[in-house]
Amino acid sequence: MKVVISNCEEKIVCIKIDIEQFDFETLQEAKKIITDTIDGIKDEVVVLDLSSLEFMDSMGLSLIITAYRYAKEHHCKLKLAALSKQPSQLVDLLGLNQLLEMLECEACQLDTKKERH
Amino acid sequence: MKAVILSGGEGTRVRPLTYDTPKPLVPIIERPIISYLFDLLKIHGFNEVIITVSYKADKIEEHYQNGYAYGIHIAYSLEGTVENGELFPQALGSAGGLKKVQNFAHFFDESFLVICGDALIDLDLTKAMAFHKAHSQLATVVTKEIPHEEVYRYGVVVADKECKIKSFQEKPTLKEAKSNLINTGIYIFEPEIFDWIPDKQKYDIGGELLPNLVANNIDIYAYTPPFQWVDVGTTKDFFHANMKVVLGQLENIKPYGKEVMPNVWMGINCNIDFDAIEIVPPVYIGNSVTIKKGAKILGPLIIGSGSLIEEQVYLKNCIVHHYTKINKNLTFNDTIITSQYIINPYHGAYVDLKKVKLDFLIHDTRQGPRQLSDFKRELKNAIECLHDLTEM
Repeated sequence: MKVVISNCEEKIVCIKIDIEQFDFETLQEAKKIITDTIDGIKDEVVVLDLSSLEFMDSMGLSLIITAYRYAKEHHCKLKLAALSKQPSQLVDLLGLNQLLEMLECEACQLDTKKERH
Repeated sequence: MKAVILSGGEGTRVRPLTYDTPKPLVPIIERPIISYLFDLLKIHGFNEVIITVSYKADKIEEHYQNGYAYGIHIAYSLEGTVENGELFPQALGSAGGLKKVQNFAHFFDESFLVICGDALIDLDLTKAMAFHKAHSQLATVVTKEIPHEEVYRYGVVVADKECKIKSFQEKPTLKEAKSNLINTGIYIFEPEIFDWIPDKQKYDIGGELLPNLVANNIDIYAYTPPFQWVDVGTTKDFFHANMKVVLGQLENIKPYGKEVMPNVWMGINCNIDFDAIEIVPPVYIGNSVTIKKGAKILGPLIIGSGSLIEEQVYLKNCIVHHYTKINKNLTFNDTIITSQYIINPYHGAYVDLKKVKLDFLIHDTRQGPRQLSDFKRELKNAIECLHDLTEM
């Protein structure tokens, strides 16, 4: 799993998690990265980029819900970027698209602040 | 009189509903589509019916058996072979399937009706037979006039003022279409039609047999009465057909159950406190349904028998299949929900809840309470609390 966190522009933090499918271990790792990142900010937009996620099951959904809850608690707004077909269908059919803004393009195109492997 | 119902198709465009159920058994307000056809056939005196079957043939045969329960005789013609209990479908086409029936025991010895098993219709079959006998020596095609902008989806029939068919067009572009009469897949034939159908090969009525008759200057006629014809070819059609019934837009088909308040029909043995839920008609609720407090049931909506709708569930413009339990606080708009799938009816996208390991949110009520891992219990709680979080 490769994670890139960047500030696309002022007040927008992008978290790109490069993984095809989560398992329990990578899920816990990704959750920690997201909560640690959000801990350091307030009143910002958090863009979660899961564009390389090919298949999303309860693990991926758990990550999105954790990110949404944590962002909300820190007065941040979570957006999802560039979900592929199956994850996007799951989010749509469960009605989560009514809670989260879905961006069609990939996020994090700007300067990379720091990179973790 | 005699009729044949063509029911061999796999119903690929109605998946995932047809993964376990053959299309003729897909329910319209909890009743298989084909059952409505049996009602119609019986009313008009068609009491000997052959069903051509292939995909999930056993399920259709187990359901209807010899027709005793419906007061008609039903027999089956299998299009395929069974080896070691496994069915290997062999597509014969609509005309090839008829020929197979006829070759078995010369069943068709008088004018007979051919109808597809995947449409809801209220056609006056008695009048259709009368038209056929007054006009046709061999074949009558029941056609329907539709708006010109929809003709590209269908086989188009071009007929003259005397209703004599001049030509056919298969799914023409709007520019090419010479008529807005479409072939409904309902035919009346004389037994001599079999002289025009080759043996033991795939042969189609609309695409091959009828154009060949016209090409050979055989007079065949289009009968275009006013009638309702709701094709159930896709998940979108399936959704709309169900909604039309609950909205009262199909005259001869009414939801089964007691109308407990205007446009709210309910079966027996339901556990619902109407003072504790919000309900907006039209709604159909099957037998033995439980709806818990705080649920919002906003029509048009259908809830199948044996289902359990937990607290604070929000449903609007949905079909909930039978024996489906929906976990509390879930929200669905414009969705078909079964115990295994969530389906967007408009473009057919679906999620297999077992595959994505979310079957603790929605599952079959008959499976009883689930033992959840700590992870799933935590996720379930998180999803249940999402609603509160959005109102922060």
